[in-house]
Amino acid sequence: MEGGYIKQITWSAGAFWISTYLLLIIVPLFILLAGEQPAGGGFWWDFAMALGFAGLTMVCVQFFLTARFHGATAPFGIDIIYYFHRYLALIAFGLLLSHPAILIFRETGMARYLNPVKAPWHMTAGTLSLLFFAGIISSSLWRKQLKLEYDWWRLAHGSLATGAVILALIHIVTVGKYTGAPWKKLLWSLFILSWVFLLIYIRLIKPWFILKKPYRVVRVNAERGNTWVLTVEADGHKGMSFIPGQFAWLTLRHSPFMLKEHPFSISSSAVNPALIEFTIREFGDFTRTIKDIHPGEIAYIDGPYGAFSTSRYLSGGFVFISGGVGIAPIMGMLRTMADRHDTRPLYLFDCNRTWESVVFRDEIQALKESLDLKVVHVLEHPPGSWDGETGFLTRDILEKHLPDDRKMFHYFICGPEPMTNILEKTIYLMGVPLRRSHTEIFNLV
Amino acid sequence: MRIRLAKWMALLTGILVFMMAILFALIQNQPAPSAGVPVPESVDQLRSDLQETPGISRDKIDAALGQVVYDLLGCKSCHSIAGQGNRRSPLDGAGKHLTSEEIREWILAPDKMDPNIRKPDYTFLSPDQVNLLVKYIQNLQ
Repeated sequence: MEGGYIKQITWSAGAFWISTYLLLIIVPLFILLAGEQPAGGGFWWDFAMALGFAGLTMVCVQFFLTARFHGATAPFGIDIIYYFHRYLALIAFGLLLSHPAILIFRETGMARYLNPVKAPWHMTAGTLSLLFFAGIISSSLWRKQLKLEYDWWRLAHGSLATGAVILALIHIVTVGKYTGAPWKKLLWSLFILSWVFLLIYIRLIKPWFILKKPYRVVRVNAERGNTWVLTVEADGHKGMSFIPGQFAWLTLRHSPFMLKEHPFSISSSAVNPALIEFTIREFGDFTRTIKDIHPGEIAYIDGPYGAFSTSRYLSGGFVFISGGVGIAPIMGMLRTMADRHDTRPLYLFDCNRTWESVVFRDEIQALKESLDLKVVHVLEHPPGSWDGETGFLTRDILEKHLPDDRKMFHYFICGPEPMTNILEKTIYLMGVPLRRSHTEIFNLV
Repeated sequence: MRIRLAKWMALLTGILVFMMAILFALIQNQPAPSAGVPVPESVDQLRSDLQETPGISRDKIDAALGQVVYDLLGCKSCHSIAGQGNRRSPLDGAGKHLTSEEIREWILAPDKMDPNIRKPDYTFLSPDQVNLLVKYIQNLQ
């Protein structure tokens, strides 16, 4: 039995959180029908109203999805919660847009409310709220094309969302047809403004706890492939207990209250929770500054997060597939297993562009001494003398190197999104059940 | 696959919310219990009762009867007066903006007033009941 195995998070926990989510978005809608019911205004009228209300409840719960609650995100992995947040945002925006669209199409004279000069101010509040939501969606979908820096985007995202929800609240409470009863008005206001409490938690309480547990940078080492390894040590506390493969949000040169944090995989062994190492490739504005960080500087860590870990599964062996810096969480798992003297068979397919960009190349070689580890390097542009695998990782390559009982292993894939998607499918086609295939998605924002 | 799962979960959530919105609209628009009340009989009965009451003027009786017709027809499903009823089409001040003929047209042949409107015509009312309704709405200043 592997040391450090944690109780597997079951489907029931997932089902519980999904049900809670659905209740949170549906119950407020039907509360509107409790007590004294407003007169029906025709099917399309009330359908349009219900879409507006339901869209708004979905938007309100969006705040909670990205609040990084450990219990609620653990069954799914926080990376996928961010994707869920993204898709739901599009659906909620569609519902919110249908609200005025149906009214304008079905009801005479409703288009006049789009004119801010002639419309009552509470109707203009509704229109403005929709425009704010449109701003949130477009700035998120096309952040890179718009050349919006992450920190600025994050600030705009939060501010626009706050503005949009307040305007929507003004709109529904002032129109007041369904929220006529004072208790309904109060309940809806509390529901919508619940994110104020959440905001206090995220912006004040949580950073305060993070501030109380600082870390100090021990070293910043250059790795192959434009990658830096930043090691921090707990300063005056026991560190952060995590399972290998997880990630954390890292803050450097700013107070945790500034929310200038970035998510990175932990590549160090989980055996030592006081010494944490992040492996960071230069991709954008923040990652380019890592090399300038000096030992002794203070760092803050919010974590651990993520469900991408060998410690969650009992398995006779593991297969790891990494692309580029996707090796980081896998390295964390390999190092932990080496520290725990794990004897199970392990396979690593490490995909890179060139031999010179293979991160942790020497250490991976060394790990073969202490682990039952078979390493297959797959290079897109191999050197002239290369006699290993080339091109992209395919089913043929996988089947060539894996034993016959490969379906019994758990598979961990971490790399660029297109590669992850293709290999996830490849592994499924090889007959590996979905429950044994695990992925980590880099691109959170 | 996990991304696809997230996509499907989001889509299913959207479909569920959409269905709930339909359910909401259906609950809201169940036939009103008053729909079966025969308007003409109720109004005629009330008129004779009121006429037997001494000290009430004809105008007051007409205004009261007009309001009864308005209530019995369930006009508040689509209209509001002084904030009561559906605010999408308020009737406050209708007497100031519309002539009695225009009000009559809105009741009997709304498509003549606005070809795009989705509004039932109330041609089943007796001329007397239409007159009462017109008077009531005309008094809304």
